[in-house]
Amino acid sequence: MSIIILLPLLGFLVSGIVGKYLPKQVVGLISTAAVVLSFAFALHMFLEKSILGEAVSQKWFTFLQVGGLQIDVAFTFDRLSGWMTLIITGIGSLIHLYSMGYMKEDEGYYKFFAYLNLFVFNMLLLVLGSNFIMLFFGWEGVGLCSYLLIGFWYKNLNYGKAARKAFVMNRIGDLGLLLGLFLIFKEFKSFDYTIVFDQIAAGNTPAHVLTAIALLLFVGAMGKSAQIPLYTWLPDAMAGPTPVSALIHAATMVTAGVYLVVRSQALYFQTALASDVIMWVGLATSLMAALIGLKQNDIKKVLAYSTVSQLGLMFVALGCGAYTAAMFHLTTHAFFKALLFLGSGSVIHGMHHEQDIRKMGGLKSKMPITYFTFLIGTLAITGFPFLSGFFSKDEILLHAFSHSPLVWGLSLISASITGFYMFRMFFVTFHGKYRNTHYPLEKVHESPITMTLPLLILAVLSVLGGLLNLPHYFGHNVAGAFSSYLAPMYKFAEHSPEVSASTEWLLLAAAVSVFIIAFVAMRMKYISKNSVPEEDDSMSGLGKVLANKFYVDEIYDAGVVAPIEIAGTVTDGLVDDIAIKGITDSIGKSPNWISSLLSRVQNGNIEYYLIYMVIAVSILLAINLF
Amino acid sequence: MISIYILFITAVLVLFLGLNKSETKFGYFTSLILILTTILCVAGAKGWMNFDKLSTWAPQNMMFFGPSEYLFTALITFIVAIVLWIFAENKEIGTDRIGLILFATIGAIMMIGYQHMVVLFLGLETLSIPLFVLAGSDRERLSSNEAAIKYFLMGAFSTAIFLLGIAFLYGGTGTMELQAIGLKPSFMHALEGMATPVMIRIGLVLVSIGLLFKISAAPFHFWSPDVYEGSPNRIMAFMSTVVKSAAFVAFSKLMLAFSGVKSDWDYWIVAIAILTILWGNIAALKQNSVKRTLAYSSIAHAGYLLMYVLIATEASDFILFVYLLSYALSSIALLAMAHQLQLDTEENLNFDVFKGLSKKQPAMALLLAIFVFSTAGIPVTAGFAAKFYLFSSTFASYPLLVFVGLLGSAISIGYYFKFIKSAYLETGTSDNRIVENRWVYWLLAMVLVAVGVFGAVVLQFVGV
Repeated sequence: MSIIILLPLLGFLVSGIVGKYLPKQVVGLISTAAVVLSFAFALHMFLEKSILGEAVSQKWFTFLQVGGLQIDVAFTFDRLSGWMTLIITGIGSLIHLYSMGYMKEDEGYYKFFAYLNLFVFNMLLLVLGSNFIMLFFGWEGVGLCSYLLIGFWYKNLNYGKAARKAFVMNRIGDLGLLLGLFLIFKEFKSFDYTIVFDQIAAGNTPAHVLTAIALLLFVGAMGKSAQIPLYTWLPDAMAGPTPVSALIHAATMVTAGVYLVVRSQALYFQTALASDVIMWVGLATSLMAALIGLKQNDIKKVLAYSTVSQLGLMFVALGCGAYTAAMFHLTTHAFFKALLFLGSGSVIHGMHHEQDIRKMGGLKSKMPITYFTFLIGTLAITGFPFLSGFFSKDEILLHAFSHSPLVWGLSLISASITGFYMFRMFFVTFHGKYRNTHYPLEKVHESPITMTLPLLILAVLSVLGGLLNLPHYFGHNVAGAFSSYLAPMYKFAEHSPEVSASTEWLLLAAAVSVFIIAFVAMRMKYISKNSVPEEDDSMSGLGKVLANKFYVDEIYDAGVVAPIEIAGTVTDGLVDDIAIKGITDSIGKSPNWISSLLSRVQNGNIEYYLIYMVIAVSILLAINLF
Repeated sequence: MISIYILFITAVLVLFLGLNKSETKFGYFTSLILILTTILCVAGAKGWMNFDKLSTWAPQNMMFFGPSEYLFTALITFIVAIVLWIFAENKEIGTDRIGLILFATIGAIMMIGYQHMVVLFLGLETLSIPLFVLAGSDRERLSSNEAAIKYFLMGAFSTAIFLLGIAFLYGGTGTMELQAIGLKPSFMHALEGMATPVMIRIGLVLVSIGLLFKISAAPFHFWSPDVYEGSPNRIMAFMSTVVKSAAFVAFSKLMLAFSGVKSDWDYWIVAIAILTILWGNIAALKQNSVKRTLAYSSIAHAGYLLMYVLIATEASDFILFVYLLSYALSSIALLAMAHQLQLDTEENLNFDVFKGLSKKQPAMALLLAIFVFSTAGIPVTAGFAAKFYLFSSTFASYPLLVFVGLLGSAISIGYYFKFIKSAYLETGTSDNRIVENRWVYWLLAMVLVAVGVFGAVVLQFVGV
């Protein structure tokens, strides 16, 4: 198992230290190979152990031992972390491969791959660590990598600011996570998953403490997984290169929060309040992000809000106690969202860094592979029957319904909006007339094989991903494979939704019909009528509010940032300059003054030194004699 | 024991073979021998090799080498190896200095392994007498001669007190063996509710003063800034690390024997520790010379280390080990870097040598910062880990002392950051030399950071 974790680290070290002096292809190959090999080992381990239900634990060394606190650098490859490892290294491999083409022209090539490898390493720490501290290391590590990669083109001031925003937002979440960890240690005197969860499952912990821990950990998850109110960094994070958006901000890092909750199932299962909070926050996030997504014109921004919205759905599932459904959606989402991001990257690449969908159109003929795979991705995310997204989303909706029809209704609205914004983007980008006046259509080109190959693989996965966990009406031989795979990971058995077969078919029909409505409506608007999203300044009413993202950034600026800055100015001027400076300066000067006195004692004359010594000896003897 | 044999043979060989030859090559050769000795000692400590047969000529009540003694011996030989390697470039003819350094090292090892007061005394003298000569080994320089005379005069004074103390202890306890020496006061008096005889208490004070002088604790430290500044840089590096390490091991072993009557001596050790911490740190603030600053810094560190003497138990060796390791490596590195950056002369080694280092040799400036951080005890370096273990173990029994220690550490930032200030903030006017033997600095920095980050791993290795 060590080798799975160490390979990306090795790749990071090699490409980071000597990458500068190597030719680009070599660096790319080394880093890609590191992740691919890591994936191969993970797959081997998965087939050898996890399938059979064996967990592999490994302790490298004790990192710290102080008092009752012992922190081990230890890893566990069980069914849950093994699955996450497969996603991380698998999608990671494809994205490394893709980046070799996408970043070809970039001067920071070696740096990019070094960061990517470091990210994979930290992500593996996060999921494979067998205690909360290892998770925290990985958690901070991926945050750092995310910061470095969002601000990868650091010469652009706005990108730098986006990176900083992501970092600060995440720090707020991390504070919650940290407080949660402190509380865990205070309560259970350990950070080890086994010990903590066994004690929680034993049920001797006061309920309010459990709720507090659960909510604090969820604050951490809010930051990392971009939930209300800490989601605004994710759309801005699209400043980073597109493969980064695909790997970090769609497939892996942002799902860390989901992983944390699933890992702590024993905790969340027992805290109904925290679960409800998670569900409603997830639902609100999902709806809000979906609505904003309707009016975005930057191809990556649409996908970013879509990611936020889908993450919201995962949290709805978690809140309903459908942990497997959340993991299932996490997996299929990783497939199709990575596919969509890479597809958008391919478009951006082909259009020479144009991201505004209003300046695209009719790309279908010029980029057939991208078009075809993007279509599959769009169908998968919007819930076209029997593609991966269809199954995973329906499972969440089913659980939501059995929880409460209201939650189901709102989730369904959110899911249907997905159809609207995705088809809108898809039709505007690939169909209709070409609308860019600065960049002639002839120059638009399909991307090289290193970029289209990952697209094809991900497209296959997006189509077939649903087979992992087929609903029960496919027959008990094939259905629910993923559920029974994950079941042993839970301390408490999951509820299965209790709905009659007819209701289930009705729900299914509802889901399919909203898909069809969305498809038809968007097709009429953007293909039959050939309309184009309006320019920014001609918007009005609700559309303008949506396009401006509900003015959340502005509200945060006015409500949080400005008061803090005012307080900062006041404390700087009054408290710091006058009061504290005066006190500290005089404290600081006094040792200097004593120091000059002491120098005078040290006058270089050995007679004096001997006299001082004699005096000291006499005093010591006197104390002991009398 | 094996280390004493090897070092003795090497010293004699080097002395005779190196007659009328340049010192440089012999420096490297001796370094390698010392590294080999270090490896053997570590092997001895971990029980991978057994050298008991070699120890038979000395009875166990005179000198004994167990795991912890081997480990400290390994530390000493490693320090000396680093000192010799970093300062190996030397155009002087004749290898007598290397020979003397080796003999002094043997004295230090005797102080580590002693089981008998006479061996302790012999070790102390074997360590000191070569140093009197070495301090004055830069014959052309007046300040070097002055250092030698000062060191010798005051050293003789302290030796006399030390010897008198041994006599008193013998008079009070009737034995000179470490195993037995503490028993009488501990059991025959303390347990029966009788006061410890004055003779033993006086003996303890006098012997302590002899050792406190060697570790330069206030107010017995006056020699050290003057002597350190006057001595050649290499000898200062040796004195401030090897002598101090050996004396601390010996001191804590001795006081551990008397731990049964701790209340008789702990209060004045606390007083001396507080005085030393404050004096060392405060006096260092106004110094302009790198060597004097480091001299006061080493006094301050002696103050912190006195805490260890108070809390020493059979199982707490690792605290002393980690502290000595981090202290020795970083202070040698700082001094050596200043030494190499300065042109020609050894006089007036002040902070100007670091000016503009970050522009001209950025990697070295970074390493300098790591060494400064470690000496100052800033996290992720070994210095922090060492201070953390030391302070946190002391806190339960002597909270006031820990408070003073923290205060002292805070003050110390004031002078440690002079290094960084010159290296990073001041632009260079003087053309400083290129630092040689860069990999040694990298090695030291890596050890320091590794111990700082993976402190627990080191502890496991040391055997806690």
